[in-house]
Amino acid sequence: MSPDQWLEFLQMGGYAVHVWGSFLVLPALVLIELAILRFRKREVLGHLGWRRDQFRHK
Amino acid sequence: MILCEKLPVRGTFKGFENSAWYRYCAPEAFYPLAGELIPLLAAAAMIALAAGLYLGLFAVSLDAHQGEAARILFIHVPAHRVSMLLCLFTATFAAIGLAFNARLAAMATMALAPTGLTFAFLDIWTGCIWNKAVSGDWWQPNPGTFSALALALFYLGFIVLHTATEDWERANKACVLLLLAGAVSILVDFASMQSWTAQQPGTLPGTTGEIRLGTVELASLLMTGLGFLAYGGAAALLRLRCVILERECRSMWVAQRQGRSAP
Repeated sequence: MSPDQWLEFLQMGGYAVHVWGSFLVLPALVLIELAILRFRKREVLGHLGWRRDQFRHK
Repeated sequence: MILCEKLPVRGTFKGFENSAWYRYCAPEAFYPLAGELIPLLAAAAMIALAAGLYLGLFAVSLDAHQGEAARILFIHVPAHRVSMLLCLFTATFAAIGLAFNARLAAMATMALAPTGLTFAFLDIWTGCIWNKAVSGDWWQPNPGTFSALALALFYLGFIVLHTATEDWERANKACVLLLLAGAVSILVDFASMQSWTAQQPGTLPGTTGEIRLGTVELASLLMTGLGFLAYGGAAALLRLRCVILERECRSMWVAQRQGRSAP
């Protein structure tokens, strides 16, 4: 696609805020959830006195 | 299962002693299996989401009335369905946990609910934005928005109940009431979908009947939905592993695990 076409695509026919506001909230939510999970995992490992590799499945 | 450890296998369980279902009821057996499943589900989620969102952003046909705003539906509808599905999974696991006194099933409800809340939030967020773009109002009173709100409240209530009481078996029992509310909202939503498809067959419900569901549109919805489901599974399993360690921290196998992998 040419730069003009990209710009047109990003503008989404005047609905840029709506469309990108809907689609970009997905990676934001995923990152927040994974960060919370990482924090929780660290907390559990700290409580048990485990090292990181002891959380792995093998 | 607590029940199985105390009693000899009989009645309902007879014949299932060696089945995988029975074996993986034990948290210590499921813990490594969950660890194996997480990367598979994460990879599946990435592939399916890339395909589904690509189709939704580039390939689907749009109608004259909504224009590009209709693309929001290709993330909103899968989020709504996955949120409902996770509610059903949570309800099923809570019922199994209560009926068979299965520890792992009760833990699974706690692992699923926060991920369900994520999708309920995504559902409401995208729904409000779509309403704003198409009709000018953030909120439209219809069965879809009602059930989205009910599901979000269900997940919130579930999480609050579990964090408020230390006695998680009692919390699980109280959650049965909440599950009923979740199930009712799903029934309402299905009834409204049924009446919609009866009036305007072959269209996406709630879209003024102008988006035709062709192969590309269905493929986009399906791939995004499967991607959400796989992501939800991976996130729930990650959380389940934490919950298992939190709940079983005083049991033998956790201590043995630590001893085994220590240098």
